[in-house]
Amino acid sequence: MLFPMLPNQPLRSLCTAMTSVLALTVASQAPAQDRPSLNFYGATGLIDMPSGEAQPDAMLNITTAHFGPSSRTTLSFQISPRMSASFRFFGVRDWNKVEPSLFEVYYDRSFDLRYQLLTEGQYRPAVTVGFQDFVGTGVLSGEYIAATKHLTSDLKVTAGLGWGRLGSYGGMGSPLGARPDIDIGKGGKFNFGQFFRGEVAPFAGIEYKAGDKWTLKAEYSSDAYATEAGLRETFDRKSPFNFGAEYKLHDTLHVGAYYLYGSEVGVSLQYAMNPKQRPMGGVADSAPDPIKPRPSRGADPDAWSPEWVTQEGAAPVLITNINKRLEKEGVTVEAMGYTGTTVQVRIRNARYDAEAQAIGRVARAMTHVMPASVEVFEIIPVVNGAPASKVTLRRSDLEALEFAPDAAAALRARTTISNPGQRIDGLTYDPERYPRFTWALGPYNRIRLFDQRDPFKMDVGLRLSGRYEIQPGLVISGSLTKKLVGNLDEPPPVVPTGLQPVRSDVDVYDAKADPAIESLMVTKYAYLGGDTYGRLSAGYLERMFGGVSAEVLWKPVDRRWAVGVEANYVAQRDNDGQFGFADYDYKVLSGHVSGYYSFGDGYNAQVDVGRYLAGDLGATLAINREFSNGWKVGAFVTKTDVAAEDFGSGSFDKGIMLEIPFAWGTGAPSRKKTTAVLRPFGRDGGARLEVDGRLYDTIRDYHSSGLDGQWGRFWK
Amino acid sequence: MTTYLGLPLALALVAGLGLGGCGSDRDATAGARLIKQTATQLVASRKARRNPTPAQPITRAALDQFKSPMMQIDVAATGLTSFIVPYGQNGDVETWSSVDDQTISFRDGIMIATRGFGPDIMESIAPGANQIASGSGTYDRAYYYLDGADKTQRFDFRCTLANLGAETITVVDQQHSTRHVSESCHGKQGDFVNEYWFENGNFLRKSKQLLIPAWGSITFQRVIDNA
Repeated sequence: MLFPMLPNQPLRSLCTAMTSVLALTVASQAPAQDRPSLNFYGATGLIDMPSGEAQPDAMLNITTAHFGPSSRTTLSFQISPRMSASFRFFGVRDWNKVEPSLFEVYYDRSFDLRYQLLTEGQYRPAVTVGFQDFVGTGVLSGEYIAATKHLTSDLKVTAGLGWGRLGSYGGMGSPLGARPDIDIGKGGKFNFGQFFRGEVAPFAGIEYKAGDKWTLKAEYSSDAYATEAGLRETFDRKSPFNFGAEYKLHDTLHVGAYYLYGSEVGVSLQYAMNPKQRPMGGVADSAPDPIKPRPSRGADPDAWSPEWVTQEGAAPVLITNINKRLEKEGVTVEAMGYTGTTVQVRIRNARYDAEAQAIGRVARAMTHVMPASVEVFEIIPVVNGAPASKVTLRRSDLEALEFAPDAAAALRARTTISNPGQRIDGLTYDPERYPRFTWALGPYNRIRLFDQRDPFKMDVGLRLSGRYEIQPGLVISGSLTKKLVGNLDEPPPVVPTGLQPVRSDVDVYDAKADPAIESLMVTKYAYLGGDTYGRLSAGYLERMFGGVSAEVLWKPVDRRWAVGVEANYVAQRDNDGQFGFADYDYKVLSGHVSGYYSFGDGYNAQVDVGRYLAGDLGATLAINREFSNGWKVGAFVTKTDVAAEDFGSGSFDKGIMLEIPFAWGTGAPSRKKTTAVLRPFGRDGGARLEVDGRLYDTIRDYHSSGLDGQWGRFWK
Repeated sequence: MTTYLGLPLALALVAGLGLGGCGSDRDATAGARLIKQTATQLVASRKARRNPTPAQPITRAALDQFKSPMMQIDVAATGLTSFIVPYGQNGDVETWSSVDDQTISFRDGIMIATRGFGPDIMESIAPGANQIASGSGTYDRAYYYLDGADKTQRFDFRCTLANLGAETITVVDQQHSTRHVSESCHGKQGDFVNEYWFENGNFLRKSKQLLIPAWGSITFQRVIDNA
């Protein structure tokens, strides 16, 4: 029953984003749309039963539903218009009321997949086939086919057939044979053999929309609750009928109250997010400087003279002038080079989630600052001190298109995005830029869900981080943590896994490493020419490992694919958070060859093949859907040569990943985003080094795929 | 046993909203700053809604201190009243700016773009002032906006002009004899009416022009002529 969060991926960040988003979206106006409602499983449906409908594409729902002894909290994502998935925690109280058990509360996780076979037509119902809890222990597992049809715009009926759990009451026989027992083993296996086997039972329900805010529901459930109500007597199932009323507090927030199974009262809360659209619409931001057109050559021939190029010290003056204009934008020019007609600037963007907007603001400032003879602007975004790409604009296009209809598309057609290319002759750095020291003091927290003792444990503390940039691309960085309050210092009993405890010992680090040196490392980032980028990191790279990590990425700016290689030689750090490596005396060479591919429409895949931290060999497949505003929703699975028995619960590593940009929730520009990785079981097999500054994601923001999605913001 | 979800959510709230951050690293403290900033804005806007303080109408005497041409703008949707002055020129487009960094660009007095309002007009296809001043005719108009996914959305409208005749209006203590023209537009995204008050031919003394259907219009009053 372990559910440790990895130290660098706190759930808190997700919660923070969601709560702030919640506060904001409640105060804002989201476009009205009627979404099909959700059931207690967080799936599109009635109360405890599913329906044939689907959510609008890309909708992300968080549902928490409770009745009697049972609680479920589910994250559901509409992967594509027809396919959706859910990840769920559930708990049943009074588990040991009549049958002895180690647990008073039984906790488990489950995963569902649904596919809408038919969308609703004039006479045709919407039909969905669903696979509930089809990986792992299968306590909730069941399959269904459900059909839903609107009779009027306010009244719809659902009828369906369920198998497994959903065929446990009022069964009509087993058309496809008996349902085999699950070979649970260590969990994590797909229960293909069970699909549509065993008793099949019908279920049905109606849903009535009573006005703008209220929805009334009634259903006949085909779930007997054989374990919860039967074997363990956690509640009394007196009737198959459930009733409920749901109220729309806000377009994104629904609450419901229910009477279930003739004996229990239930409540639910459903929160919906649309990653496609910012709830507040366009980003609100201060106005940019208008483009300053050049005087005509005839009117002011002196202004057009390229002679300024020969002036000593023109570059520092121009850098100072342009940075004065960019000061409020959170963008800085750190270096510049020029000929009479071309100026190249290297910029850092600390503010704009839309990289195109940073480029646009710099281009506008350049029209004010650059002598009239300069016609070509080459803007090179720099990430971690190393150039990521080159955006080439013609000044006369900027002048001509500023107010042209659909100016963004018109300008993009005349803009070149290429690799950074050769450094321009005479590139001069802002003498005040390097070296530079920055620091931050802020809160951190760590959350552990579902260890053997508690469903939820958390530490809160302070993190002091510093960053010293010695020269472009060469950075010393580190962070210290000091816990303030929390209960992670009670590690759960050790469950030996047969592998080096590369991740499972995270609870020992949680308990003993305080205060802790989280990281202290030196990193060199470099553009290696052509389409190749590199990174070399050395030191205390993460909480549990120190050593050397090297990465090379080959990524053409405008291709769908990229290839990377990473090699790490690391040793496991002492669990007291200090400098030593003696506790574990464990060294490992790990590394991967990675292939990246973008299918278009925001669907991306990454395959990593190589050696993992415990010395196991294998591969990881990660698939995500990314939205132009930076939202990312994905899942990953890692299979290595570790035997399922050695791996422990879950059999192999898998999880889901969410990345939420702050700008989505706040409607103000920011590059900050929050990432949450949820793993049902954090184990030692298939574990990777957590090193900062991996190249692909940072570089890609400034390549065509990253810039084009939000190119409209160039002129914002 | 209590339900196990209340606790994490409550703690997350405390952890997320209760703690701040400081430092010189903008990236690392961005989260805390943003939350603080948005909270402040929310509180401020609630306060403002509770105690609306009517803006003191500006007087001619106050305006006499300024030498630059100036317009008063009123955004009904937000209750904003502000003043804008000429700030930049690109070809036949003039951009005016307020002190709090909102800009409006005009071609011949007709608003064609805005920045800094949020749901800004990125660009537009609009009739010229002479056409509108003529007070008759039917034509197409188009506005370009960015949606919540930063994608360009084009809103198309069909507009008809009507001459509403002579009207005397008051702009900051001064009376002006104007000709009132209305422009009625309809399209898939809604209907709206722009209004124009022309003085001495086609000098635009006052106008009410659409920002975005969801927000409504901005009212412009020319309070200082070309000084």
